[in-house]
Amino acid sequence: MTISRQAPGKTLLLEVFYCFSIVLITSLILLLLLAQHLKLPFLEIILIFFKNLQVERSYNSCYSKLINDRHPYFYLYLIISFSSLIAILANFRFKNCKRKDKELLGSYLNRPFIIAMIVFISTISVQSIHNINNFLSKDIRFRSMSSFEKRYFLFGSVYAFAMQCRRYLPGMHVAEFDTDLKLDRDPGMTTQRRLAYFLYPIDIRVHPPHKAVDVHVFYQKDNAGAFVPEGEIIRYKLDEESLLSSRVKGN
Amino acid sequence: MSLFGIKIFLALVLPFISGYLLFCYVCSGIKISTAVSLAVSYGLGMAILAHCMLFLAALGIQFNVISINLAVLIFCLFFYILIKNKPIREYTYFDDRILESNKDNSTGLFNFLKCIFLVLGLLYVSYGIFYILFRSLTLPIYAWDSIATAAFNAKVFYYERSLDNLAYVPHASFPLQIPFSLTWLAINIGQWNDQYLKIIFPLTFVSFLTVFYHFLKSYTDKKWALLGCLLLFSSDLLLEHATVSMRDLSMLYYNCLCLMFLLIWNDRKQDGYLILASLCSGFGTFLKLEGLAYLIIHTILLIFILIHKKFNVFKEAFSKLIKFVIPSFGIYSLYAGYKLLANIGVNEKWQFDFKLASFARLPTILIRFIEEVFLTSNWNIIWFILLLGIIIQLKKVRQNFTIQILLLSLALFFGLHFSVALFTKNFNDILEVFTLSRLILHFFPLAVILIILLNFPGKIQHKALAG
Repeated sequence: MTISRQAPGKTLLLEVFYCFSIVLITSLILLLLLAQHLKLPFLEIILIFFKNLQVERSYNSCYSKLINDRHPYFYLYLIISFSSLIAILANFRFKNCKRKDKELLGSYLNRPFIIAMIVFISTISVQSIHNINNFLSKDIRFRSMSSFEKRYFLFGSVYAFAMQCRRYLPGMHVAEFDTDLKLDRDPGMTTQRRLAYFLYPIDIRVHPPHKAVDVHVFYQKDNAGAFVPEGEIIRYKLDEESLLSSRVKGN
Repeated sequence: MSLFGIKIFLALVLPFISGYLLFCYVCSGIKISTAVSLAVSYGLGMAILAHCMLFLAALGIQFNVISINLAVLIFCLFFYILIKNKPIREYTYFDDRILESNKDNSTGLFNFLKCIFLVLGLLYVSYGIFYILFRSLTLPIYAWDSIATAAFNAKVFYYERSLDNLAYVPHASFPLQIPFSLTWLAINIGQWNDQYLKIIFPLTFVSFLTVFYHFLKSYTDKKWALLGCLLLFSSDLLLEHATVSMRDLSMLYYNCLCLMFLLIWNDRKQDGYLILASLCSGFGTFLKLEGLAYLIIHTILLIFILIHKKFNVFKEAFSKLIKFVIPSFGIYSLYAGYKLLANIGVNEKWQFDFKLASFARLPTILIRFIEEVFLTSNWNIIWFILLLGIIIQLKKVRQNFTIQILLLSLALFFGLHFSVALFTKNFNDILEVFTLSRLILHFFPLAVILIILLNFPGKIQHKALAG
């Protein structure tokens, strides 16, 4: 029963079916126990399990919904571990452990990998369905959006404000940024970084000491108009809290 | 879009040629498949481009299409002349059939199922590649880190055409390869369009995948290499990072390529691979600050290999070490030197904090690492499969040196980040949800390689990347 490259496909196929049935039985038992523990119908727990295997992608950290305060992969590890133990030890006789039996045990050591692969392929199959659905419902819509629409969708009014500022005041400028947002924590920190990125070459962040400030950018600043320095005029005003001012002889 | 496409293509051609020439020079006498050559050339080329830009900045020359192209062209000519004048060595052709594939005794049903598995596997991988290309070329830059540092700095360099204000940009000590690549593309397309600039990230991913596949194929066979790709694609975090504009994917590329070339060098004993590893390790230091720590890890691994090889002559072992250390640390010293001359901190991140009380953090750090590896959705169930493989295949671990090197490298990478969390003031940073996952991403493919090598039923022996 050695599973190796030399092994005839039939043997490997039988092994796969054998492992698959063990995985199936173990999974059903585990889900049954979980259903009893959570006092939920068996079918519902199966549905929850499949649903929570789905992954929400993020560049920070991807996440899945928990089942009974545990990550769904925890249950997969249980399934793999118990199935592997059963698959290795099922045909092994502990009493009168002979050399032949030990060899046989050694040959069963490939079973955990087959079991892990069965669980892995089942998992990625379920996840793929969700990913494709997500792609078709969320990602594909970006295709038909214009460049402005995409950025507006992702960044909202920060982007629109920055674009208008650059429209009314083209060229490179060093600006002083004023806001009521707390810049050392979110959402202020994110807003400031985004604004700095989109406003550039109107520079609210780099500020080399040899360059003099010639522009003021107010964003979410209460009664911003009152803070416009003397000698500067308002170039663009989004609302009472957000505006751009520069010297009269500016660009 | 098509005009942008042409401009971007043209912008990438010359760096790519420079990478190819460097590759040809380093690997003369080694037969390597075209796909691998192209994939490695892309990475080398982008790094050469970035260093040419650094060189121009150091000389006070402004960035523009002509100056940068000229710098890269000089590099190309230099290596072209070197290649032309290099004495023609006897080419070493490797026989791909060193390990004859075993005769298939499979039944009809088994063959049919195998075919289905291969087709589904290919479909899964193809969908992954399509997803990456679609998302990266459809969405503009939106990742927080990119907007706050790499892309923002690139935009500053694009408008200023120099590094004159490098000291004032956010995180000035951070290496510049990604900002420079973005700046270069923007200069070529003539505007800051961050949707098209992102092309470098999926290209990095596809290049990595090509080398990864061929590496696995050279140690096992096509089916197991495909299974490796399947395992790699199951990581949702990796796929996501291939579509956003962050440095971590490129760090993964150089870090893992370095290790793969070190392993091949260990098996094939051709110094071309050692120098390639050295270049990848060195270029990694121009991507992220962690690159230096990884370079030290690569050097430790090389020393481990050299000790294991039991060279009869110390001089020979020492010369191998020098062949690795000089190019890699030489590359590192370029930007480090520039930062010193420009009065920019060499490393703003690591502030050591050795205290006995730090050991009290040990359980917290350990739990956080275990959680990150096993109980997040970032890596699918890959780390658990690896753990199972190590337990089950303990005999193979003891017998196979390649597997031992890989395990040691994993231990060193985890150990490094563990120590940083334990002994520096970056304790909270490292343990944050998003930092640790990104750090693990840099060496995640090693787990997949290990799974494949541990469970491959044949003898693990390298067959050359010629296939």
